[in-house]
Amino acid sequence: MSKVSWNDVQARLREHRPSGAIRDAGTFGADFKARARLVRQEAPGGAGTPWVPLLRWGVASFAVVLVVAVTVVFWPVHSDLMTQVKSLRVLAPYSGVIIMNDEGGQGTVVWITDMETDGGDKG
Amino acid sequence: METRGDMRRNLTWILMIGLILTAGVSLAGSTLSIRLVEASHAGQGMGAGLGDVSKVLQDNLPFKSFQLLASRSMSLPANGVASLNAGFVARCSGNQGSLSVVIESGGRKVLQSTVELRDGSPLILGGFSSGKGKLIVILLAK
Repeated sequence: MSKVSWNDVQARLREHRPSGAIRDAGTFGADFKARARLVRQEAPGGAGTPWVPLLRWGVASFAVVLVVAVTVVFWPVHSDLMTQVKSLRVLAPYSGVIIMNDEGGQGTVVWITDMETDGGDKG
Repeated sequence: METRGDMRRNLTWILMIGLILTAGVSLAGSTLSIRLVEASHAGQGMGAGLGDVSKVLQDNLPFKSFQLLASRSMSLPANGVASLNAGFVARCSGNQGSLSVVIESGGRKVLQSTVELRDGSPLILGGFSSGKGKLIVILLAK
């Protein structure tokens, strides 16, 4: 990197000095504002507000969780998702067995009719 | 403007929330509740402690009154004995997918069953004779 002496800098600055008269502060400011209006400006504080994308993500996440929860709650209940009786042995005197899968109440009912629990067989 | 770093951070949060929810769901069903209920035509209504099974009881059984006599619980997989009221005992062993249940009355086995319990889906074992009506054993995994 070559070093430039201060004298050279001054000389080069003089060479590149604008030839016209130096504008006053008011004109310079007005020109600057006119140029600035030509370019779309970011709203004050727009880029520096981190809560806006966070809020957007929060709302989106909540919507996803809500959809999943509603789907799970209102999903039709099938018998294979309910309690199942694999085997049943009644060891007391009885006349019949009724097994019901209640999809509305989401339960399984095993009802033994005319069972005499006091006179059951020893298992 | 949302940067790629912000998106990555937000995605990480969503994944963490999802993991927490998944862990909560997978831990569900770790407790087996065993209740003894007396069903009869004397009186009317559903006794305390039966709110979660009231619909299945009222919709399927022709009784006016359901009263809770005893309530016990054990962890799943089960391997224990629950002494209920009126000389009834429930012996449970095995995991939720293949739970062995033996009901005893007065020291005698009266019913033996193997069931696959689903979370929140009660199993109603009923028809045991009682003075006022019928006794019911309710098994529920939560």
